[in-house]
Amino acid sequence: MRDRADALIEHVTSGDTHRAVDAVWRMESARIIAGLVRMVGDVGLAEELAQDALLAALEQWPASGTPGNPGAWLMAVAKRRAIDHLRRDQRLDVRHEQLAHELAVRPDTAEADLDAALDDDVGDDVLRLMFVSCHPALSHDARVALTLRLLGGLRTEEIARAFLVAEPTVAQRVVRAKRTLADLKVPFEVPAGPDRAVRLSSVLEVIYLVFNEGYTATAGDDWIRHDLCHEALRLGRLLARLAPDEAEVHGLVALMELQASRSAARTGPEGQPIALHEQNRGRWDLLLVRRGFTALLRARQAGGPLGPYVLQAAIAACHARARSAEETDWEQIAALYALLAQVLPTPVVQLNRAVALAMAHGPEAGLELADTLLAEPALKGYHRLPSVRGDLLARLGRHEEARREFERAAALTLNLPERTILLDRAATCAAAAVPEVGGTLAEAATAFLGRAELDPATVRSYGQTLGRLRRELGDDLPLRGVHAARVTEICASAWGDAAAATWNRHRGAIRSFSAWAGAHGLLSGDLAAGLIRRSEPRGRTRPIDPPRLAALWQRPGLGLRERALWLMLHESAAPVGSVLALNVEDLDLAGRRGKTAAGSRWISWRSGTAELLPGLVAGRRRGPLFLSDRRPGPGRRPAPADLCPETGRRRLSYERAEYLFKQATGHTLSQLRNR
Amino acid sequence: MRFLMTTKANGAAAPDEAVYAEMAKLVEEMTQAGVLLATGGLDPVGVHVTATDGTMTVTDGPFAEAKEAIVSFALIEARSQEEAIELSRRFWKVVGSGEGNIQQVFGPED
Repeated sequence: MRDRADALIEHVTSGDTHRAVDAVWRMESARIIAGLVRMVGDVGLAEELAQDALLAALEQWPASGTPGNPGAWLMAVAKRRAIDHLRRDQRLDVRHEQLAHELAVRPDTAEADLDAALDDDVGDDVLRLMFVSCHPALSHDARVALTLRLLGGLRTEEIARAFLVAEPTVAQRVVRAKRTLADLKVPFEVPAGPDRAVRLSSVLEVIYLVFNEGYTATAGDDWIRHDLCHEALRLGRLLARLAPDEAEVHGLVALMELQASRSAARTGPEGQPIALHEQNRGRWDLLLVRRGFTALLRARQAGGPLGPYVLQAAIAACHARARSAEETDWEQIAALYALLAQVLPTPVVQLNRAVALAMAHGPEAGLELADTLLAEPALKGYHRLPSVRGDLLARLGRHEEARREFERAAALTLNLPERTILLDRAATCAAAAVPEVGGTLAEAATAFLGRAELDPATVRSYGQTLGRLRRELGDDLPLRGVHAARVTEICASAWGDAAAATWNRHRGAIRSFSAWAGAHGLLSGDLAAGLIRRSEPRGRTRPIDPPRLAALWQRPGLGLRERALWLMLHESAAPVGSVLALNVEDLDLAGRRGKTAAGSRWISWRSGTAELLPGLVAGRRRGPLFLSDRRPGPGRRPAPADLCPETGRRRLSYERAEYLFKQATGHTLSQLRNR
Repeated sequence: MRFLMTTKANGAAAPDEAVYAEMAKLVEEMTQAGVLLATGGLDPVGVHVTATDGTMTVTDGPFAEAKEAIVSFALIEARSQEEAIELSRRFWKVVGSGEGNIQQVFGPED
C-alpha cells in the first residue's frame, strides 16, 4: 500500500513550489501530525489528515505562492479537515462534539494566533508522539519505521532505501504498527512514574538504531543511508529540547555528535574503514566535537546517576580531547568502561573494555578479559572478538595464534574492505611467525639444518651436501645469487662418479633445501633443476625374500633350463657370468660342482640343482651347459667356445637370461644369489 | 548538507531592539534544533588581499562597493536546498528587508 501523498510528491518532480512543499512537509509534519493526534486520538487518522493538508498545499501553492508561515497554513487546513472528520463520524460521542465545536469556533483563520497556539503546546505533542511511535509493544523495525515517518517526515520509499528493504515491507510495518497502537489504545501522553524510564530508553534506542544504521553505511551506499545519521541527530536534538532534564537524552546527543564528528576521517579513499587510532584527526569536524562537549556538559548538569549513553559519550569525549592517538587517556577510558560494564553488562561492552585495559595496562590485561568472553554465545559469530584477540596476541608476539584469530575474524565479517584489512594482518602475522632468516647461503643453510623436525642422521647427511656447496660457493654469497647451473657443476664434479644412490642422496638434499628456501621467500628458482635423478640398480644387494623364492620354484610351466639356472644361481651364490660360462665337460655331477671357465675356482650347488642337471645335460659331453633356444643366424657367428658342437646352438647370453628372469619375476638374476 | 547564508549591507537602517530580541530567539531555537551550526556579524570594513603566484598584497578597506560587503553569516545544516530556503524565510521574516545568498558548503560526501 502506498500513501497518496508519497505518490503525489514523487509524481511531482519539477517545480520550485513542489520542492518547497516537500521541504516544508519534512520540517513541519511532525508538529502537524502530533497536534492532530492530540485532537483525534489516532495516529493513523492524524497522518491521513495531515496528508490531506499536504495535498491541498500541492494544489494551491503553485498558484497562490508559498504562504508566509507554511507550517501554520498546513496546520490550519489539517485542523479544518479534522473537524470535518469528527462531525462526519457516525459514532460521535459528546466529547467529540464538544471538541469539534470548540475547534470550529476558535478563530483559526488568523495564522499568527494559530502559530502561537502551535508553538505553545506543540512541543509536548511532539514529545508524546515520540513516545507513542517508540512504544515497546511494537517491534524494533516498526518503531524505527514509524518514527522516521511520523517525526522525520521521511517517505516510505526513502525508509525502504535507507534500510535496504523492500518498500511494501516498510509500508506494511507502518500500517501494522498504527493498527497495534489503535488496538492497544495507547494513550497519547508522556509516560510518568517507573514506566517513564523504560519508555524513554526505548525512544533513545530507536534514535541510536537509526544513527548506527547510517554510521555503518559504506562509501558506495545510497546517500540516504548516510542521511540517517543526520536524521538521528535531528531527532536527538529535538528530544533534548523537549526533555531537557533527562541526562541520558543529552548523553545520546553528545555520543552521536562526537561519533558523527569523525565521519569524514573514518573511511579511506577506497571506502576501507580506518581505525580510531589511525584516523587523521585534522579531518574531525570540530563544530560537531564542540556540540558534543556542550551536550555532555548539559547531561552532567541534568545530574542523576551516570547512564549508558552519558558514559559512552564521556568515552567518546576522551578520544575527542586527544590531539593524537598517543595522547589518549586510556586509564580514564578504562575506568569509564568499568562503570559502563556495571550499567550495561553486555559482552560487547566487556570486549571494548578489554581493548581499553590493554591500552592502559598492557596486552596481557586485555587478553585476560577477552579470553573470558570466548564462551559467550552472544559473541559467537561476532568478528570483533577474534579481531581484538588477534591484535592483542600479535602485540604479545604470539604471531601464530594471532594469525589464526585474524583469519577467523576475516571469515566472520560481512564488510569487504574490513575483511581485506584482517587478511592483511593475518599475512603480516604469518610472516612474523617465521624466524627471521638471513639471505646468505650460510645463514639459510644453518636455519634449514636447525629445524627441530630433522633427525640427526638427516642433519648429518644434508650437512655434507650443503657443506660442499658452501665451500665451493662461499658462505657470504646471497642465496639469490646461487644459480642452478653452478650447483649442477659442483655436484657433477663432486659426486658425478659416485654410485647412483649417493648422487641421488645429494640431489635430494638440494631439492629439499631449495623448496624450503622458496617457501620462506629466500629463493624463487629450483637449485636442483639441473640435477637428473639416476636410476639405482635396485636390489643388487638385496636378495629376493624366501616366500617369493619358494613360490618361484613351485611355479608351473617353468622350463627346465630356467629352473636349473635359477636354482644353481641361488644355491651356489656364484656370479651370474660364471654360471653361464659353465661347460658340460667341466661339471662334476657327483660332486655337485663345476669348474669355472678360468679354471681356478669351483662352483658348488645342492640337491635341487643336482636333481635337474642330468636332464639339462641330456647326454651331451661338451660345450656350454646353458644353451639358447635357437641357432645363431649366419651373419652372427659366435666364438667357437660358445657354440655347442652337438646341437649347433650358442651359449645363453647374460642379456637374454636376465631378460627372461625379469619378465618372469620382475627381479634381476643377481638377486637370486643366496647370501 | 551544509549551507552558508550570507547577508549584504545594502544600506539598510540598523535594526531596532525588538528585531534583535526576536533574532536572538530564532538563533537560540535554531541552534538547539541543530540546524544552526555557527553564525556571526561581520565588520563591513575589512582588508582586501590579492595574491599573485603566492605573494600576497594587502589593501585597506573600505570595499569599492560598500553594499556588496557581507555583514553577517550563518552556517546551517539542512536536508536540501529547499529546506535551507525555508529556514532563511524565517530569518528574513524577522529582519524584514535586505538581500543575501545561500550557497551549499561542500563536505567530504559531496
